[in-house]
Amino acid sequence: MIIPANLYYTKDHEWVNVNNNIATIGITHYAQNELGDIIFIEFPDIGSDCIIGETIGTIEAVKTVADLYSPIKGKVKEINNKLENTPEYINKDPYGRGWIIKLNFFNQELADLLTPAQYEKLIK
Amino acid sequence: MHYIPNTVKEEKELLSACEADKFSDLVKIIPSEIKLDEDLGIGIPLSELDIEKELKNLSDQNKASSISFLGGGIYDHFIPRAIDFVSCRSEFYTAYTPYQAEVSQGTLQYLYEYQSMICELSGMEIANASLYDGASAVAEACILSCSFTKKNTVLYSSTLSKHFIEVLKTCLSGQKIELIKIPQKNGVTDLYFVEKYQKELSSIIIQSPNRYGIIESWKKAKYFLQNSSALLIAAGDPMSLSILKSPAKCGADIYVGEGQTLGNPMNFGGPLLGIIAVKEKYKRRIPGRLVGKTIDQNGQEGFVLTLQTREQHIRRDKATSNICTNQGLLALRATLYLSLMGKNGLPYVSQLCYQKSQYAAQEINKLSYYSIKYGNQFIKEFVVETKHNVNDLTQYCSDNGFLVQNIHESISNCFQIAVTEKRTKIEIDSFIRCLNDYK
Repeated sequence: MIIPANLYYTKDHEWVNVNNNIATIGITHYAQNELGDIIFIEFPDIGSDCIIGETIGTIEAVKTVADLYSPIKGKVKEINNKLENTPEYINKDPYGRGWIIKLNFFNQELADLLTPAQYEKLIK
Repeated sequence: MHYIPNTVKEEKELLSACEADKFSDLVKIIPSEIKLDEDLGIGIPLSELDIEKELKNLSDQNKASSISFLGGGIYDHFIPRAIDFVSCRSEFYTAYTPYQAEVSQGTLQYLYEYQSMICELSGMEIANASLYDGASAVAEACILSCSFTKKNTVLYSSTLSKHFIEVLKTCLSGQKIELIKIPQKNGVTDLYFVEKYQKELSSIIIQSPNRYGIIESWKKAKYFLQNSSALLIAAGDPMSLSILKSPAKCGADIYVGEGQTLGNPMNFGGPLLGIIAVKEKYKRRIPGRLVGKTIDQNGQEGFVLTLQTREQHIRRDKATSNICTNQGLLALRATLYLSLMGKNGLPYVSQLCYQKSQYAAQEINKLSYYSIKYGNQFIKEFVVETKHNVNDLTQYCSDNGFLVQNIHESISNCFQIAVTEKRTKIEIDSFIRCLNDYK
């Protein structure tokens, strides 16, 4: 399993890339492997508020569906429109072209997120 | 326990496996105060010959020769015999609709054909494999509109069929959805009422023909929503879609209807066939089963259930609906009916209904104690106002072999008549004479 060292993680198998006050969110290599072929993403509205632990979208695979939970508090800035036609980017490139949502966030509440080492331990 | 074909020996084995001596030991856990300790009141056991006679006596009490002018959502249309023949074939005639693609291509194909025909009738892009009945389809459409718009106020017209409104209230009672009734004027929805709710609305529901048989304008309803994100839910008899502008053309987002009129008998009010069809953008919100056409690994056409991640066995508590079953046998009958009637037959049936009901209304309007309540914008059903006492009058009609519906609501001195293609001129004329004779 690929776990890039420059990202934060959650116990719900999401990754968070923090850059100033923009957080990019996707699902991990492990998560896409567990879900199987991803066929549809349901996005939140741009500008909507995100509360830690609340559903901000759903990821639909051929035989199952998973919720996407907000790992931090913020506002939806951007969604990855390309996934509407090519949801398989999440399987092929989960940390790159498979990013899902960008959030504007305010407080630096990153303490609850997992480090790569902690995440690696979680999925072992 | 006469109907469970176990031998005495087998029964003993089963009981000993449960560590019981006799059957009553198995049910002794049930508290005695809730156990029935008297006789069922259905008489003594009878032989097959005697029971047949008994049942014949009972069925002879039915007024089977009465002529039905009943309506109110369930109508007496002609059902071609071929429908009974095909739908009663053992490949189809089962209590459970089998969906497993490997063994159910026939079932899946007719459901796919059914969906395609409903789309063609309604002008919508996606229809499901059916729901329980028209009333629960209305409720499911509301739930869809609320989950799509993320708003929770639904306006429903007071001209919706009475049972639609009752089921709607029941289904939505635990859903945190606010239902508001739109008042009516002269038998049609007073759409100006909608204006003050624009912003917080998730949908409005308009039925055409409505509960009085009057045609309403979905297009006008859509006009009242032009500054709102609310969905237009168009309800109505699918039969009438053969001669009315389709819900999709009128701008509706969802079409729902009661499919009993398509080749299904009236029985005593059920079972019924719930129809729902939506624009493509709602396909991930539509409730129930969807059958799709696909290609197998050898490149051959086949049919499967599709988009199942909407459903409760996969999405659990976040499913679009708690109903994943459908009315397969009735959907089959509707498919057969639509195929047999075809593109010319279906509008012809509606035209016959129209001509006959308009004729009946004109003649009734000539009678001195009767008048037509809401004008002539109807296809097969209308309300008659009378100076007579309605309960006594409908009883008199029934005694003379004509069944009519007496409207149980605030409108006093009114009754409702539906005239289908089955009614002949002689039947209509003799019914009118019956009305005229009543003093």
